[in-house]
Amino acid sequence: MDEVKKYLSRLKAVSFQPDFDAMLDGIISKSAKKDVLFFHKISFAFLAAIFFFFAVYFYYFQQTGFYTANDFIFERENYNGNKLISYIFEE
Amino acid sequence: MNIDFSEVYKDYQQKVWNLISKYIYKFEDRQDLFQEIFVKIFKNLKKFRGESNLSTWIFKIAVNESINFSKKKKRQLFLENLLKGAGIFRSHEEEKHVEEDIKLWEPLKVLNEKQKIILIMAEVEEINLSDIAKILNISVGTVKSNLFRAKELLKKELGKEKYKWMK
Repeated sequence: MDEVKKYLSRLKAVSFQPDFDAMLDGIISKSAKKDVLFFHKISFAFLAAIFFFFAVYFYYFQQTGFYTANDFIFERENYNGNKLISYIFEE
Repeated sequence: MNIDFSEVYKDYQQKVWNLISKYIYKFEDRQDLFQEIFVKIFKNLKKFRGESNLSTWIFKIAVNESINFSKKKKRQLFLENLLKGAGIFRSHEEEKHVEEDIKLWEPLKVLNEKQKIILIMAEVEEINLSDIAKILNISVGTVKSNLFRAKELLKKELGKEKYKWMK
């Protein structure tokens, strides 16, 4: 065990002191920065949830109640006087 | 409980530094870890209800962060070596000046994280075993058995030829 004791006393003697005051500034600025990042994480999650909700809504409910791609085609064809295409689409 | 962070910092900076400087050998890593520990203390100080001793609570954070930091560094090193082996990445670490003798930490590699932190707390920082048990949330018996095992492993390791320079 003498070797272990000798080794541990060498380890004990290790002493490189940092600049504690400079590190305190770093700690305070890091704490503030991480709070901002946390807020961003929440907003990102919130936006992702909204996007997911709309994606599911459009996928499963076939875009009802909104101006859809078909509406645009009907409108354009009607405007061009092409009633037949509108009729096919509506069928 | 209203505790002033600057007071906590002043009282515990040296104790936390002493602990991590025996656990992590690179000076830059120690500084990063030290800051991470105190950022966590800063953020959680409001939540401290005084159910345990403040020093136990602080050391608990320090120990958990140190173990996580060490694991993260090991993963990083493994990946760096893998990339270096493939010739993709070259670390600048080798070129840096190392302040302390890295070889001094070499024998501790035979210990797992728990054995290492227990050995350092008990034998180097001289924290009593019941406090270590509280910090690590384990029984005093487990602390003792881990400490005994750590010393045995270390003794075996130090007996190797490559550590002759230490004698």
